[in-house]
Amino acid sequence: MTDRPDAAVEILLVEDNARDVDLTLRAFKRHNLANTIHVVHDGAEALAYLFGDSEETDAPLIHRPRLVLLDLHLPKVGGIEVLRRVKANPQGQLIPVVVLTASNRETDMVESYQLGVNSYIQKPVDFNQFLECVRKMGFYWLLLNSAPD
Amino acid sequence: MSDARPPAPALERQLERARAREARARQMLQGIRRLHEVMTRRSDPQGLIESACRCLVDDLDYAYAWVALVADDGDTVTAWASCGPQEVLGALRARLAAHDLPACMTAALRHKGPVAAGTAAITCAGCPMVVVQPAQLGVAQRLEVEETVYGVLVACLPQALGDDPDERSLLSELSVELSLGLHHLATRAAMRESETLYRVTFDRAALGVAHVALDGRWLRVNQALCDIVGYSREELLTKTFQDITHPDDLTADLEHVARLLDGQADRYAMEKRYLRRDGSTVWIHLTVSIVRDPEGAPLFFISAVEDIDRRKRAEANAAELRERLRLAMESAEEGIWEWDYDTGLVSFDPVTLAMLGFPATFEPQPGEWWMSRVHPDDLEAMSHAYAAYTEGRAERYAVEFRMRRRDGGYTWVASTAQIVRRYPDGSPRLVVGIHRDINARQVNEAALRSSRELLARAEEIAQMGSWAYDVETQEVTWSDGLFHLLGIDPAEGPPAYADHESVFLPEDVARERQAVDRAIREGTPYEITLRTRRADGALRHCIVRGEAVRGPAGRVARLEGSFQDITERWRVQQALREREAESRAMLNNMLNAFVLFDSVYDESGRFVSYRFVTINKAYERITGVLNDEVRGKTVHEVWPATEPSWIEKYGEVATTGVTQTFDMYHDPTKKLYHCTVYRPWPHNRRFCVIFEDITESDRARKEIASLARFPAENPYPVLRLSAEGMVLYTNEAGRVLLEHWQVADQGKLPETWCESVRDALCEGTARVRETRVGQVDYDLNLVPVLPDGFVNVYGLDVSERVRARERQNRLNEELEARVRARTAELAAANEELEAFAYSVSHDLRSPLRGIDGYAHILQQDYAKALDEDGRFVLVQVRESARDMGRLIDDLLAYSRMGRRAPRMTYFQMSPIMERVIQELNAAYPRQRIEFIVGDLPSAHGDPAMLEHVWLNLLDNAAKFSRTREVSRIEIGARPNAQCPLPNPELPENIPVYYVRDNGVGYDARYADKLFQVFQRLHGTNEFEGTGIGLAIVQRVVRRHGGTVWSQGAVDQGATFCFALNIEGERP
Repeated sequence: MTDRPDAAVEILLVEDNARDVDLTLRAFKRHNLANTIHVVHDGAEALAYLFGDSEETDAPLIHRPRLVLLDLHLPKVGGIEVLRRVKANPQGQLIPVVVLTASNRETDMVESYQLGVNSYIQKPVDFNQFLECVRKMGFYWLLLNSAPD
Repeated sequence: MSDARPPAPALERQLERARAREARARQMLQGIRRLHEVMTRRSDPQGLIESACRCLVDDLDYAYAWVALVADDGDTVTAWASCGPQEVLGALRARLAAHDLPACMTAALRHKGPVAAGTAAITCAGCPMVVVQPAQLGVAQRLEVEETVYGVLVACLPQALGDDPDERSLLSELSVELSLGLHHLATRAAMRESETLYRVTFDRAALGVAHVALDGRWLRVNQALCDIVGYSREELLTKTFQDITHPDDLTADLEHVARLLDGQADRYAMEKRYLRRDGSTVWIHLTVSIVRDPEGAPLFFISAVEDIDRRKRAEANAAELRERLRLAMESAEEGIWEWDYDTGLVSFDPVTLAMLGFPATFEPQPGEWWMSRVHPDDLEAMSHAYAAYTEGRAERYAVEFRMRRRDGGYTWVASTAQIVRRYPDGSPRLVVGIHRDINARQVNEAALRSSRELLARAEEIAQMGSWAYDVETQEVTWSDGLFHLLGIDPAEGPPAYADHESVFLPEDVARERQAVDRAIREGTPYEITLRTRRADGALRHCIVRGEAVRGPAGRVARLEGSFQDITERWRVQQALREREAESRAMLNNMLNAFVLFDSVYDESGRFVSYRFVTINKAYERITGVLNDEVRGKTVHEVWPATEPSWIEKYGEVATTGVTQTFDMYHDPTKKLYHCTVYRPWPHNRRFCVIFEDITESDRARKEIASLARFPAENPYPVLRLSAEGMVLYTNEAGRVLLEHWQVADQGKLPETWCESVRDALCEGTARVRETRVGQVDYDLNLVPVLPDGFVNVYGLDVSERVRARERQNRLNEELEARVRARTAELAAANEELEAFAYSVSHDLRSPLRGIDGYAHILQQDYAKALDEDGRFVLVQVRESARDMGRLIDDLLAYSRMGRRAPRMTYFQMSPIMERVIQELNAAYPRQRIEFIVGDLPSAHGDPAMLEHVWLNLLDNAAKFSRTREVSRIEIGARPNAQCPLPNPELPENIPVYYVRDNGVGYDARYADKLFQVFQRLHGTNEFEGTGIGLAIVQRVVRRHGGTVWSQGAVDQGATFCFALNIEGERP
């Protein structure tokens, strides 16, 4: 499922907590969302994956996933910064970014929306709720939503 | 050949033409010269235009020419001339003779710009143009100068000359010449006209008129001016205006002239005097204007002189008359008043004002104001009389009344009035009247009476009367004064000689008779004091004098004499005698000893001793000597042992006259005396001593003095202050204070202390003020000593106490600073704690998700691998994780409520309530809950935070009532007084929100733990919960400036109330 270089990556999951990565992947699997998911473990990795070495705002993306799931509390480069870079890029703007975080801090939420996040989801403790959440999310962003090419 | 010949005829033709043109040019030149000559000769327009026409035809070979001059209207012919064949001009001449101008000419004249010449323009009926062919040879020229059109010139060239530009310009030249000639004539005529007019005006004017050169010479004068100054024209022209101007007026006149010359003014006018030829002066009104050339340089002056001598003299006379009238008025104590009905004001002249005690500058006042000063008793009569006169019912107005003077007293005035000006309806517009001071009149009139009256008056003033007795005829004559003095009516006449003694008191008659008899017998004059009884019974003391006048036979023929009333003098003497007796009695009754001494000097003028004049009873009592014994004796004769100090002291007073008071011991009597020595008469060596024996009181005083040393020895300040804050006494310690205040002995304290002194005296209570002098703090007690009106100040050194208090203050400040620092630390710590709580809660969620997530997967995917107990354990694992998740969520909410400042806004409460109820219904789907929601007023607060409040309160209500078959939750808002649980500490009207349920309630004993974090009154096995909900409620409500309270009892349900913005709601 991961690291299949030949398959077009459909979801980029940016998450440092390995357990959360596992649970998220399981949740996707349970709902038969058999998309290609690429996982990175911090913000720097995420930026490298999307932009390569380029520091320029307008640089074309190396990878253009169909959806980015982004944790905010990340090592090295924070989720907010990643979001800022993605949404500042003309191509990145077209990729739906869903913040998936344990934080319910209002400032985080407000800032994310100001930067143009497409959804802000607080990770519930209850796994049942999380499953439901992932189902809805995948359904909406991958199946219903039609993004421009 | 052909080459040489052909040009010859052409050249010849050209030459011929040139010659012809030359001849024509000469002709033209001559023609113009002639016209010019004509014009300078001719002084009338008719002659001018005739000459011009002839010149054109005769000299310049024109076929014909005619000129028409027109009036201002442009088509009436005023003069015309023509020259040319009758067959051509006949019709035209007829028209012009009838003053009728051909229409084409009229148009040409009216048309501005060059007149069209030639065929088209100048063709109309009767116009000769049509006769002469070709028409283009005719030319019309408008005769005009500077837009003034005088007429038209029409000339027609002979055919032979053809249409030559030279000819046209010649005609144009001619017409200009003619126009200028006409213009010149017209201007000269106009000038002549105005010149004539001016000369006539100049010479015949009643006003003196003159042209004056810039240096003042008369250039031209008219008869009127000559008449005014009495010089002939010839004489005057040899003089300057300065010569005949009155010296007193010359400076002003020359100043005016200088201004004219400077260009500061164009004209001036003044009144001044001329010196006439006969030496008299004449007042004139002079108006002078200056005439300048086109460049503005002054040429000469024009003066207009008006004789105003009569007016001036009349004015002077009037002023003199007025002055005389004023003087007359003033001397007669008469004043003028004027009532101007236009303004309603009455103005009084200075005399009238003075009469009433007002200054001359007193402004006019409304008539009513003056009326109000009339004595109330006289007002009615006065106003009646005035009304009768002004309304025409009475012939005149003359009344006497009293007017209130400025000083409040009344003055009698006689008032008359005269209507001077009337309104059209006949009512008075200006009334002028006279006020006469009648009081003064009486005096004046008296002064003017006959000498007899004068004598009577003199006698009256001197309280004298004179009499004469003719010894032979026994006739008695009395002066008016004597009648007056004796109170007898002069009409009764003097009593007969036999009866004259009746005027004296019976006891005095004998003395009088004796003196009279002796005078008659021996001719001796007498002067005796007699008492008379006036007719009204009053007793008078009179000096009666008598003198014999001897007749021719040497016998006494007449007695003449006088009475002088000396009653007043006698009374004064009597009073003096009584006063003396009184003084004597007083001296004798005095407790103090009194003595009058006469100074005794030695030959060198040194005061050596003194002699007793008189002593009083007290002196006798104190010293033991008697008045009769000591009178006339020197002090050494009475007390040989008198100490020199007494002589010295008394000597000082006797020689300097300066009063002295001193205490001195007197050895002869062995007593201490308090003495006052003074010299009552400035030029007299006598002096008085008043003294008292203070031997006893001195002892008492010494005691007091020793007592007074008590404050002197007091180490603290003691002062005595007057009511005004003056230092009356200070002890040694008090001087420190005076130095501090920079107040001298007997000086005045600083104003704030004076205030305290006044306050202490006013209120009659002591007060304490603190003051610091150097390192010492004093409490100053200001104690009023009421009957005497001063204040005693007792100081107390309170330095220790003040130091202690300052230490205390410092400690308090330090403490406060420490508290502040601590509070800041706490706030910082609190913030840290909040942050810590947040991050802990946040980080705790992550592992929880793992626990629950993997337990879930285990449950779902591996349930079969576990037995019953294993599955139970898994459920417990997941429940624990969920509980902890809730706890963390609540803690985060609680923390957030504390961190965030409420975003205050006005909002509707009802929509929030609906959302909350929906949420609860979703959370407790199996529970039957009946929500009874009352009216919820809109509120001021943070809607999101208050939603938490409702959510927690309603969640509690639902949770704790779920054992009931139907949960009843009542929500509403009412004024405090009417809510289910009124709070006595709040205003009655403040809105209170409440939630009431029918649940299990709570044990009121633990009510104080209700709103604390993690405090639960029910076990988690009964009712799940984190124990944070109500803490959140309280936190939010408090952050809204409100309070929350509750009531409950086990199984009785619970009621929670809260109110917001309490401070804002308080009145």
